[in-house]
Amino acid sequence: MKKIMVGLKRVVDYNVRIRVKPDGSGVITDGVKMSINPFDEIALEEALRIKERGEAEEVIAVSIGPADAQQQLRTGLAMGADRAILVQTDKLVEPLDAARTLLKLIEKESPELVIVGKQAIDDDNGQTGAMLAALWDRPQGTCVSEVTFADGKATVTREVDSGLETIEVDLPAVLTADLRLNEPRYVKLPDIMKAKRKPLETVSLDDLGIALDPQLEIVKTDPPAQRQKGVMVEDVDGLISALKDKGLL
Amino acid sequence: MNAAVLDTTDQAPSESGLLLDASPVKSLFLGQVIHQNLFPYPTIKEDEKETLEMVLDSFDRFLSEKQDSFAQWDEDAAQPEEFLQGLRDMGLFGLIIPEEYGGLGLSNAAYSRVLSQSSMHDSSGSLTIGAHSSIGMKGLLLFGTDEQKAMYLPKLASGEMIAAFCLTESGAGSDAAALKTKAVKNDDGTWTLNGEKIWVTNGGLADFFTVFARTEGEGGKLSAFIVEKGWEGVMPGPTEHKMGIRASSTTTVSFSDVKLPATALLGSEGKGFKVAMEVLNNGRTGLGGGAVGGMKACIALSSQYAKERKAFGQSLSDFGLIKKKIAQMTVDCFAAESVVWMVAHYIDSGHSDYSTEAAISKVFASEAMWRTANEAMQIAAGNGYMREYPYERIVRDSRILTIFEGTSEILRLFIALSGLKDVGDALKDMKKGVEGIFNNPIKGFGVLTDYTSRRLTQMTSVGRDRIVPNVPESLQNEALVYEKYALELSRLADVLLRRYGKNIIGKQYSMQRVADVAIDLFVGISVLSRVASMEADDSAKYKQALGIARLFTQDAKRRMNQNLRRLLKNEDEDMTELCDFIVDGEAYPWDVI
Repeated sequence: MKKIMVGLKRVVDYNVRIRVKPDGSGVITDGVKMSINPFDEIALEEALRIKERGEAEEVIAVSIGPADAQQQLRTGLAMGADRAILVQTDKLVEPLDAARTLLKLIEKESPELVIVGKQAIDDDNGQTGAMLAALWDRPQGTCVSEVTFADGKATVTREVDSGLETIEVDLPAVLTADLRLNEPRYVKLPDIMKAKRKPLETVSLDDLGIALDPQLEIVKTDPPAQRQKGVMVEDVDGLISALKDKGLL
Repeated sequence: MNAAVLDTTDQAPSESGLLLDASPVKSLFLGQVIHQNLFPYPTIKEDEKETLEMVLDSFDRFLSEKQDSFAQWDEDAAQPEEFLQGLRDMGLFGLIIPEEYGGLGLSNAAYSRVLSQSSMHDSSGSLTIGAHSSIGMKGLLLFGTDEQKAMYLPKLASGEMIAAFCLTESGAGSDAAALKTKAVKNDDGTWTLNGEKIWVTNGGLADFFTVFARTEGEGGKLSAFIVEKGWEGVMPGPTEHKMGIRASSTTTVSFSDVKLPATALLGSEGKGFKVAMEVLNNGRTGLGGGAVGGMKACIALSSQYAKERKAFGQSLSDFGLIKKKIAQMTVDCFAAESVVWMVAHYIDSGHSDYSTEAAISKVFASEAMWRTANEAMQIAAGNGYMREYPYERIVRDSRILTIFEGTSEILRLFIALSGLKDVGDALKDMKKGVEGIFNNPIKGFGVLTDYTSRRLTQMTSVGRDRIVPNVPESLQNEALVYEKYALELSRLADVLLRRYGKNIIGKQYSMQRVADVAIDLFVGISVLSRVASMEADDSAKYKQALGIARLFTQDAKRRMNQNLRRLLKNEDEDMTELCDFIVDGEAYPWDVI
């Protein structure tokens, strides 16, 4: 392979306790730690390992998001990506629009492989990878927990409800990374300095000829209901009668 | 004439608006607030901020996975080789080494912030990195020749060489004049080093030692040397068993007839004391940053514990006595953070005279950390005392902070003396000015006028315009407190010097009070400056920051008031007599039977 393209989404860090804005218009991101979507980080790690095995020549990290998403791309570069492209927009980008945008980048870069996380931990849509494969009209391997390459094909192991499923897809293809695909590396500090000198290109949606076409309207964002205080029951009989009272037995 | 005595408006400010040769604390002793160096509160540069965030994030992940090991390594009194290799691989030994030598070239402020992050996880690990960068190889960075730097910095940056600082000896800690290690110059220009250093942090790991030795016979001047572990006659001793920071390596290092090449001399011959002081001053913000990280960890532990732990059907956090502790821990942490980063910024912007400020940041941050660790343990009470919880390790680890790199006592005397020296100089200048009136009326009059106007300021409070204009309306009362006590300090410094003259050096009780006032002033103004530079909004965070500024200032005001009053009226003589009586008998002589 010559090129692997990896999608990195900027999301609220998984360690942060999410708080909803008082007016319900979304979650608070001001002064909140932002990170690479963990599944995307796994996607990047896999791309880097493929490259380090000598099976690919270049890893390109791409992101769609605000100017600050440069920070996540820099982290990607520090991990080992060769260059990065930010499609800069302050608007909310839905999966279909994200897929359309990524397709434009694919047309520009012609990668043999695109890896993205199976879902982003902010909206949990889990659609972008699959939509991208459809728009690109190429095979897809979703929720990948293992992948190997030979003869222009990828052999992909997927975790499905009934166990592990192994499929073979022709390249170019889209893969979406699952949690157990790998454990991403720590960024080494000298690599952070090196990443500053790696190319990071910024383009706008206009440059790519994309007009966002939202399919959804977010009506309101609510925090999960506070958990009700539990009651302790004395014994098994107490439990049974309590469940009966609630009509659960 | 001393720069600080001049009216500050006469000095040309640097590009950044800072007066690089004026010490804000020394000036406070003269009743002057050098607002240029105190407001606005410094911020980290945007591009460095991004780098720093990535560094912190990566380091944080690396350390959080080792959380369970730290307690074990504390027990084992050693860090395993894999951990050290991990630190090397991460590039943590090159934090402050310039990029051209393979390091990260972080500023002092960014470096302190990194140590603060690592100290949230483990003090011993922080110390391994900190002793390497803050003191172990700082002398090379500050005073090394290009050849010396090219030879060692790349290896020090990669961690192929770990560095240690060798100053203390069994008979000489803070008292550098008593050092016995000596280096004798041979005819061919090489040196022969003999002596033994103790309590060397990283002693057992280091390959690169910065060693201070006497080069002019007994009582003569000190010189600094680079010594490699591989050189014949260099022998690190066994690991010391310590109360805290146990996983960090502390050993003796002895030197017997070690042959040093002429190129091992670091800085000029005979200037070793200057090298040692510069290194220690420059390294203080690393230690301060570490203390701040430790406090942040305590605050997180205590607030979680207080929320979860129930007593009498309520959470601990519902009780006033616990609330007070957590609030006080937070004020202490914020104040230490404010003063440490103020000083780090002085170092980064090239100030020439920041040793007093650096000493204040070390005294305050280390003592605040100790108070905080102690209170965190008190909140967790019985659980806190048990080894399965982290509190007792934090208490043990933090105890060293007020001892090493200059004890609180030595640094307090240093702070007081540095400030009083300028007042003494000012008094001398006044005297000279009076004489000068006859020889050179204009010049003499200028000096006199400057001094007189300061006295006038004290009496009429006309000078209250240096802090107040720099803070928002909501902090005016706090600003007035510092303006008032800066004048009070200068008035009493004046009284003290007139009363004791150079004998002030023997008046340690008074010097401690003077130092404590200076500490409260500088830390307090740093807090005020930081809060004043925050964006005023409706957020709870901003509101609580204002609260911190009020809480710190009101406490500081009470302390300053006490300290200044007790300068003139105190029980110092009773104290001295009692101590002498006890020391003479070497025991407590009373009993109840």
